[in-house]
Amino acid sequence: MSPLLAQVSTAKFKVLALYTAKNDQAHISFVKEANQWFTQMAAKHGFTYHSTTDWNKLNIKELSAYQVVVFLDTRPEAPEQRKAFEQYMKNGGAWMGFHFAGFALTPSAYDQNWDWYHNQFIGAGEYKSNTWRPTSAVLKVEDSAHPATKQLHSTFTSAPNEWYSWKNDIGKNDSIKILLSIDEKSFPLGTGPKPHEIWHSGYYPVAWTNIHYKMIYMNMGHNDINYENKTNKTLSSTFSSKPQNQFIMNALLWLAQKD
Amino acid sequence: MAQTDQASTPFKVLALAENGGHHIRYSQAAKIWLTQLATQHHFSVDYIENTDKISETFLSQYQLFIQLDYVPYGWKPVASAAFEKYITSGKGGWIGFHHATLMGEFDGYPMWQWFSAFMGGIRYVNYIPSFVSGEVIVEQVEHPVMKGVPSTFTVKTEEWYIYDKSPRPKVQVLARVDEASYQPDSKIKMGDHPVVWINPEMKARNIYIFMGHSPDLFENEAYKQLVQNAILWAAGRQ
Repeated sequence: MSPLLAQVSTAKFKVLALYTAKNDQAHISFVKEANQWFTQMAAKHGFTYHSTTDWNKLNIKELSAYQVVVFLDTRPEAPEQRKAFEQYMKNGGAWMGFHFAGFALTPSAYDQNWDWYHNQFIGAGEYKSNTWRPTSAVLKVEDSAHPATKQLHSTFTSAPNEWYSWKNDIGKNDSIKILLSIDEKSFPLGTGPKPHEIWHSGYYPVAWTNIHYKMIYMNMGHNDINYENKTNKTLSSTFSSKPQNQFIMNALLWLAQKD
Repeated sequence: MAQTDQASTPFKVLALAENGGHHIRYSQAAKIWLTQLATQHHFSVDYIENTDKISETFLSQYQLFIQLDYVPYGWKPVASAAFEKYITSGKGGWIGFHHATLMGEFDGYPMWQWFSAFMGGIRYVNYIPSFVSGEVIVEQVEHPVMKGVPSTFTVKTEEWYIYDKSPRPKVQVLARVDEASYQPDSKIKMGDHPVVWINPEMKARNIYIFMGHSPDLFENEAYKQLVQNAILWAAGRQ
């Protein structure tokens, strides 16, 4: 191991994970297992993982104690929370966001009313459409030189997910570096029943970073749920793909690295 | 005496720095260091965080424009026109650090074609996200900007942008980084890799210095000497 790698893997860092876990069984299921998985990873890798539904933790004083902030399923809504988070990021903080944390759609309960976050920081703007029902995809590694994609093959099979497409074409934004995308071997992706829920072609970024911030957004974070039989039983796990887990852990270690 | 008079004449510097982002700690360290340097070398520094104020009239007050980690996109049209005139007419000097070569289509803005030509006709391609150290090799030891700078020096923490091509055919390269020296090694390389250069086509004294990410640069004696020399040279004081 190089000295830098040794240093990174033994450095103590603190993660603050924020979630809501209220509105969608698929997201609630993901949040529950994410908290379990990150707690296990914290024990294994020697970092501190603190998870809470208290979004008021997004204030400058609290945030100064954390090297990485994670949004598991939503974004902050209160203006003062948003302002504190933006300031934290602009002062060199690090962030990981999953699936619905990037969602905005006007009109909806999550209007696109935060331009810095959606257009500049994440870059995707608004949600446009999704696949259904949740399924694995073959993901293509778009940037094999990034630390988050270390030890991954050029393609790998993901855990099941509801895949999003976005209003902005982030492939055309040089601020955004795409790390993972849907590989064409995935098509057709989704099973419907609606035709627009099945993707047959196209370029769909899945995970990316913004070169101006220490951040990684990934579209994973939506489990398959047994809605039909009304049991709401979880049918899949976002942490069932070993390479995907490797990506998430690589990403977290990179985010925690001081540079 | 003309030489002595010019060297000691006070001058005004405009510094444009982003108000946040990955490089904020560099800009903060730079300000502290610039304040000390300003006292020693008879200049004042005015800071701005965006291009709203920039116009021909505004720029005419300043003998030196320091683009201290500010991107070359999203400028107000009046500001970009005024800047082009400032440089092409030689109204003052310019130093650009780091972000000044983020040429491309960023955040929905088109690439600023004039600025890309100013930087040697390049386009940004990638960066080393894990940051590595590299050896900088001075190529023009006789240039005033390199006075007192060792012929090679180590920069500990940089992301070493790569571009679609080397700017070398269109600029005067004062220093390059030796990619073989990267610790740890990285796959993100471009071959000939200039990191300090001047564009002699422009009337303004101008210099681009790539290094400008980590605040630890202001503990690097070679870097501080380079930047001090660049300021005095670009302002016509050396």
